[in-house]
Amino acid sequence: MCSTCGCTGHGQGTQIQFFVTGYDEKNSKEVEEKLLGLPGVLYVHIHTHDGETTINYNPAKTRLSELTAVFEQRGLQAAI
Amino acid sequence: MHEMAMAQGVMEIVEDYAQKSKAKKVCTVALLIGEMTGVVPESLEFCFKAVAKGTVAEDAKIKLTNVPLMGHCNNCGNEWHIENYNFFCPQCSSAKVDIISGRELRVEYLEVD
Amino acid sequence: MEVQVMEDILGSNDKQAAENKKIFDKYGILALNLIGSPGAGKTSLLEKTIGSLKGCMRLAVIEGDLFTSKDADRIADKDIPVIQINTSGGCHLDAMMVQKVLNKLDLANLDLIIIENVGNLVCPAEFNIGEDAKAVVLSITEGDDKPLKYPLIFKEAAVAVLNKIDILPFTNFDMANAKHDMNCLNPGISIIEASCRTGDGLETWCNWLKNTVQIKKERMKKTNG
Repeated sequence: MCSTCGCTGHGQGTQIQFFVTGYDEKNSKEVEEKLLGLPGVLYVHIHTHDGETTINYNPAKTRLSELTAVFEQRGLQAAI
Repeated sequence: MHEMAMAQGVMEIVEDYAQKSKAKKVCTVALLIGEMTGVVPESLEFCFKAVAKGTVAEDAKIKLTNVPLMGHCNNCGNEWHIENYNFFCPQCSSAKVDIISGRELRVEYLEVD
Repeated sequence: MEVQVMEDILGSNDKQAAENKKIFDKYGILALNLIGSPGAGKTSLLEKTIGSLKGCMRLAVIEGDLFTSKDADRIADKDIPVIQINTSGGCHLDAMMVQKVLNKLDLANLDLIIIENVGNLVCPAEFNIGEDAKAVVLSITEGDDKPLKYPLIFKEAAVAVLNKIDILPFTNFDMANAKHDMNCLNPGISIIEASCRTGDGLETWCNWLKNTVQIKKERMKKTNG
């Protein structure tokens, strides 16, 4: 980060990767947008074809259960 | 990481408490560092030595206690040491997990003369 | 001798920010943290804002820059109180820097303080200075991909001013894309398209400010009695 102040704030970004079954073009876009809207989520990348879902988030702001709820609400299965 | 900013933060606290307790010399600075902070102990010690030069804590030893990243499952009550940032409960696979320790970044106590 | 401490190492900025906020609240002042890249148009926006608002409210500006007083000099021309903070290399203002200059302002006679942060879309988002809200200025020339690239500031901001829309036809900035991404990151964000050069959108921006100042005053009246 910045060498002058070394700032990154408190609460680091954590990366988590899920493998999701059940994606199609429409719901994968919905999932991406819903996840991005969660307060602690900074980055989402989804490979629709193989279900690889990478999320960078701040666990101090958003809980894991809030992430998994996004998949559950759409009837998608997410595994680590 | 940002160990320099942390070292400065530690120094502010040390100077404040050393002054309040009228200490002539700080011998030990005890820190509680949670596993999730990702702090590299050697970097923090190095940075602290640099900012402490010429202060009451110039020769102070850093005593670092690592606090493990522990999860509590709200579904089955399990408590365990979270590894690889896998926040799913190893017992029931629930994601309803609270972090009960491991995010600390605290000055615990000082040993002064 | 052992001295018990139990204090958070990185808590000091948040503590100081809370102290600053108490001061702003005591006087019913709206404090706005204005953030954006170098050249986005923060100072230009301020120059226009002051021109429009100083007739109907009491404003002050705190300028943050690494070096020089160039921005404060521009604002000084507008005849309102302005203070320059130089960070001497630091990439963001912090709560202590702001606290140190508050006593130079006549707080009892102010409605709005705009704190123009150092030009930077990254670090200022992480350091609270005691403000009521953050505003982010993004200019068209920076590109419509910036919200996703710098998610934290767009999540934190109450309002985004998209500046330099007068040159939109000369760029490939996709307005729908940019707005979509901002709304994704922060469903509550207000988005104002503006041009400091032509004056477009400035009335909307000033109304947002007037409204927000009014809401704070009413809230503080209820709290302070």
